[in-house]
Amino acid sequence: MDSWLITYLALVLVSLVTVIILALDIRSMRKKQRVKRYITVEKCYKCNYTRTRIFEEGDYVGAKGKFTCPQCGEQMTIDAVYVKVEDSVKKLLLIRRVREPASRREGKEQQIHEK
Amino acid sequence: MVTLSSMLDIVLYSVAYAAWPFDFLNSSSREGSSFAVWIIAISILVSTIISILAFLGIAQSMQLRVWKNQVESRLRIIESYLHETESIATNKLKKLGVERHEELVKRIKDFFLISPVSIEPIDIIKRLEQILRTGEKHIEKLVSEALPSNVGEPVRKNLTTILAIVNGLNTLYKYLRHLLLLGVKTRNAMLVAQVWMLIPFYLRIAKAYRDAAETIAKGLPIGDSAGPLAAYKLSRIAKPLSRIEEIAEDTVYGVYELERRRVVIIKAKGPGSTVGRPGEAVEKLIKREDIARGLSAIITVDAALKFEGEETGITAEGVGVAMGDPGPEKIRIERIAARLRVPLYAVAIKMGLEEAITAMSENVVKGVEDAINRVLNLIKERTMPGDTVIVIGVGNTIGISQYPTA
Repeated sequence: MDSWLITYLALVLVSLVTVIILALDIRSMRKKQRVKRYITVEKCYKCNYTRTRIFEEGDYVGAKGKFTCPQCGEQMTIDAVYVKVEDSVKKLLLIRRVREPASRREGKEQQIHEK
Repeated sequence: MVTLSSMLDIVLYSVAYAAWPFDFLNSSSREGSSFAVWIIAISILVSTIISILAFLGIAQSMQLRVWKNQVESRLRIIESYLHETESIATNKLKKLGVERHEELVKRIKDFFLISPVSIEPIDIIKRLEQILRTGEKHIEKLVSEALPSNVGEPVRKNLTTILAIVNGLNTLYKYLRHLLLLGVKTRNAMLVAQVWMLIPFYLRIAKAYRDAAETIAKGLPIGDSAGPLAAYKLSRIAKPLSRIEEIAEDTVYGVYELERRRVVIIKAKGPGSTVGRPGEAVEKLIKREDIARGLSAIITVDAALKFEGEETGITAEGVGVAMGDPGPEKIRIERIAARLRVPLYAVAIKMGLEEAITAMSENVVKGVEDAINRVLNLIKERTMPGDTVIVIGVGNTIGISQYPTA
């Protein structure tokens, strides 16, 4: 084989490896770009009914909740505040919809609604 | 001499090899091959020169330069974290109406503690405690004096913690910069190498500190709040026998009935950012005859550092005092347990360093539920009905109140 061709092939190979490494690096960086959601859990200590909502400044565990219990009408209490790290909304809407079949997705949504 | 001659051989060979296309490859059909050979010849020459330079110690100085540049770039990141944390503190102070906010931040930023003399161990705990408390009170007083009187206690406590974070980040940044500059100044490659090797860990700590400042500014519970959260949740499932009372500075206790035992639950006073003084609280409670007489166990629940590979939020139980303080609080409980011959049980909720000082994750909340079950099992298995048990929720109580309210 001509040496010129070998040099050319070697250059192509090196460029390919560089591109692959860069792509993997960018992918790993993208993985880190996740959304933090602060969740407040409200609980009725009478009937153990729980409800989650987005955290608002001033919420703390032991404080009176925003809601009353739909089952017994008791004032709910904040039982936990935590952070949930999730994929960005864009990723959730686009990628998950492509990957998951519609029937399975609907089932999951129904489960969340029931909770 | 052998090395020198072999090096000379390499140089001569490479020069000859580099000259080869001029002598033997003059035909136009092999122009491409001539180009490739030139590249190979030049690369051999360059590597030979570098090898020679390595023997002259130039390679080490080049390596030092590489390490220095890499450490510098990471130090710049740590510096940016410091500035971000400073701006969080400054904005919070401005929002609360503090006029000389920059002066306050600057004063606390460079605050330092001098550790007590350790070559004389007698009463070292007392001396350490004195220094730590003076430091705490001094910063708290500076913040309180600067803030308007209508600012609530939780906000004041959170602000004090944010300023303590600024102080910690500033110390870390300055210390690493000092080591780097000293290494470069004295051309000590080993010193720079050590900083280079350790800086990824420090970078993680610095990032966690920056995130912690954000979390505390919002008043969210952090991973370290797992202990106080467990104490709160345990008090919710128990039957209160008394109101919550403050027994030591920033530390509250309540007496409850649980599984036919009298359970005394101690935690830091929330929802402001404080760890309280659990050791002092136990010491004071033990002086009460009704508590000391039937005491059959002291259980501590705390967040603990997990090993890499372990899942966040898993729990484990053991013996001893689960407490990450420098010593004064922990030793009080150990001394009481030894004097009264009371067993010490510990329940740990595992998490990483970053998770311990940033917003509490869902896994830690699940871990807290698991820890409560472990505490209940310990109470049922290791004590008898009618006994008294002390349960301490150790950790920073930011974002977590107490039940029933004082």
